[in-house]
Amino acid sequence: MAFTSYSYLYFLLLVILLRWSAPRRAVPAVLLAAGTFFLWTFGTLGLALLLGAATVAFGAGLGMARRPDLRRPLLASAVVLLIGNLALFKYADFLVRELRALGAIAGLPGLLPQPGLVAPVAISFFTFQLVAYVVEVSRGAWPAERDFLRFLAYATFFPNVVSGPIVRPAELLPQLARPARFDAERFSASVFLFLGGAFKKVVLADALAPAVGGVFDATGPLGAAAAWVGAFAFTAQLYCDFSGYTDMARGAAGMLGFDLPLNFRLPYLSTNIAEFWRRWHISLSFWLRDYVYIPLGGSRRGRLRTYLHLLATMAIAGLWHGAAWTMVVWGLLHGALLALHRAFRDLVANRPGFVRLRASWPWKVGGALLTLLCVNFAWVFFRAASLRAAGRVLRAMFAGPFAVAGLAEFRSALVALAVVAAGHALVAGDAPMRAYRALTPALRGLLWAALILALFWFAAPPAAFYYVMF
Amino acid sequence: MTAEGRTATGEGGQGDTTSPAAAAERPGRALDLLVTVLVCLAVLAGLDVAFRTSALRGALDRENHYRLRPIEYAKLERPPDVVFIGDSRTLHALDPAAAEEALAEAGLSLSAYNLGLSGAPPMAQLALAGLALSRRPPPRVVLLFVSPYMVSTRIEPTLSRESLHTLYAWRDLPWMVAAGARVEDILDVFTSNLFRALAYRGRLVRLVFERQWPGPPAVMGEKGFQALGRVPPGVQAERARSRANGYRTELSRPAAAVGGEMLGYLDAALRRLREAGVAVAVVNTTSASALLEIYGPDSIYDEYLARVRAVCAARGVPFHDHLRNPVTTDADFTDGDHMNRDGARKYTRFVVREVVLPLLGVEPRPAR
Repeated sequence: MAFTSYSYLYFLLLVILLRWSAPRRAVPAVLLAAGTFFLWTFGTLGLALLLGAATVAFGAGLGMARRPDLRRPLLASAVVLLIGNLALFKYADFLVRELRALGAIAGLPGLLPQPGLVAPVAISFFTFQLVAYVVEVSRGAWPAERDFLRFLAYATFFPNVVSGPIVRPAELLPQLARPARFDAERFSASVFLFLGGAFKKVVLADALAPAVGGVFDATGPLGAAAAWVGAFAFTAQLYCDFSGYTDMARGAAGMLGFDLPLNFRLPYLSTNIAEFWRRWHISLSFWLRDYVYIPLGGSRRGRLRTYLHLLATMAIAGLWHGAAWTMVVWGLLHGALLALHRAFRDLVANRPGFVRLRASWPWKVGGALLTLLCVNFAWVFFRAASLRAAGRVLRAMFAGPFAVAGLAEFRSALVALAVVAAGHALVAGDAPMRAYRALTPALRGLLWAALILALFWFAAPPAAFYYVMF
Repeated sequence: MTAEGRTATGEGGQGDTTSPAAAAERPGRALDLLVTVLVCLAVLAGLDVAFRTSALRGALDRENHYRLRPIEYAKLERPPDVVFIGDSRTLHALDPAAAEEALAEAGLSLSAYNLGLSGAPPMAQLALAGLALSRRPPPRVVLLFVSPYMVSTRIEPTLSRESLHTLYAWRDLPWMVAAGARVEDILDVFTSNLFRALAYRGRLVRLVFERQWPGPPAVMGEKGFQALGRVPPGVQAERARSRANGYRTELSRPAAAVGGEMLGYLDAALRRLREAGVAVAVVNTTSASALLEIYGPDSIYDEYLARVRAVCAARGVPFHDHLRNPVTTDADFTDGDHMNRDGARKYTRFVVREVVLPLLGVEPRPAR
């Protein structure tokens, strides 16, 4: 049930009606039923795995609360089970395929049977969310949840279960324990957020998709101009797709009276790569920081180890996105960029001249452009189906013949790119929401209608949300 | 990845759009929200009503077979007694005039109508059955024409799916549910009937952005029948070979299989017609000789026949296999499966004699 389908629209309307007509104590049960149904539409395997994983996390949390002396083994067991489940469904097939390829080289074809496992929708997100829960409980940062139904409602919360944001227990469980009362202003703003997200996805991201596919999925000759447009189109598509999804998720949650955390803060305006990761997929980057980078040692064990920790963390980030070498390269590239940035900062951070320079606008503009270029370069690996396909696009970008003649076919993509760029340049922070709040109720109604009409007029052929595959 | 920036909620900076919860700092009045919702709905409903009653909608209806079919049918002075439903193979093969002539020869003064539509599989036939039943009294006989291409999983019913909201009216929704239609398709039809402009979305977008103005009115033919002219034998043979080559991959296993979705629609159409008291039969469409060879054991043809027969048997509906029939030859086709005017005349008379008269309980007279 895609967020942009009629099914989801009617499902959401029904759940909103049920949520606000149910007594407050019944809200977790309503949400659990809705979440279970929502996940079931993607297949029973994913639902079964989620319910199983949630039971493991809940049991581990309860066990740690009752037997603090068993905290470590319980945590280790839960994490092994949760990550093992993810590894089995997401990486076993990849691993066996690579081993078979090695076996074929060594003269042992058919060394292992290919398991043919397909990762169910949502597995990457719910695994990380549940790991966050058990780690927080083990650290004593959050008390173990004792209400199983409420915990399942937290694990299956349908607005974010498929593609995030990855929610920490402190961000959602208290809201489920004391569901908010209806607030018309919050509801209205949530509808606006939802429609705005749909606009980003349906109008902008889907308009960019054909140009991206034309560059990345084709095998014929590719010119430099087309390759650059294709790469930037993907940079914009991914942002509109994923941040649009997040806005829809946060809007849907808001209409139900729940607040989900931010996941994007205009990331392509970042002036360095570290800042980019504080603005892009925020819930994942902070998850990686808190549960991978810091436990590895973070920056406490010397400069060289810090750089290695950054590389390792981002390699894991790459693998989390997909079991493919392209994802590993993407993660390592970001790890290397973060390490380089860190080394540069270590070198010049405290020099008075640099402090002044860093505050100047040319430095900021230059930093933003350089960061965007680096991110754009790395996205090529993220989007390409193979390293060979990534190499083809990169060769064209840097060594291909520069011909603008064929760019006419990218007209829609160029318009959408211009809109995204203008949006980044003109819309600062929460300007849209502030402007919305200043409108009269009637003008808000007109704005809703305008957004719905824009979806009607500009909807490109539908494409699935990109992050659903993770 | 640094330890800067404390929480995932973006403390110390604003997001692309702030949290809706921030808006709750100023608790809102329910009345304000109601006004917002009503203004939005009024604008959308107003625009939709304006479109429904516009000349533009009329022009768009006239240019399109799918849209014009229900309009033409509603305009008929007297509802027909015998209706033929199927795809283009039916549209060009069942001549109502020839049918009426054959019925008159049997002593029956009945009218006939061809409700065939290009590319209409059972997914569309269920709506066409509803259209046939929309007039009072309903037809006495309805024949549904099917072919293996309609159920092959190799042929994505994308076009039919996109046309659902064009053909299906409110009255058809319960029958879509009975057919086991996809939830998304049912909701698409529901929403498009609620806001009619949605059913014209693709066309309106092409009109505005590609300046594709409404075309000339579609040719609907005499009583729905569209006659095709005769073509030289060489041309017919070449076209038939070409179609056979194209169809082969669409019917060959293992790439192709018999999909259950269309059979669900067929079953619902039969049930719907039977419940309305209409005499129904299902007919397997006829083809020129070049196509016969692709229905071999490696194709889905035998399974298709068996599954359709089973659906008919379950509903107590007679099934007639006209793939090989004694009246048509290659000279009666313009290609592999579309008949010319002469072929249609011969074949229609055959259909009346073999299928319609028995359904009406009339003993057919020997063929002239």
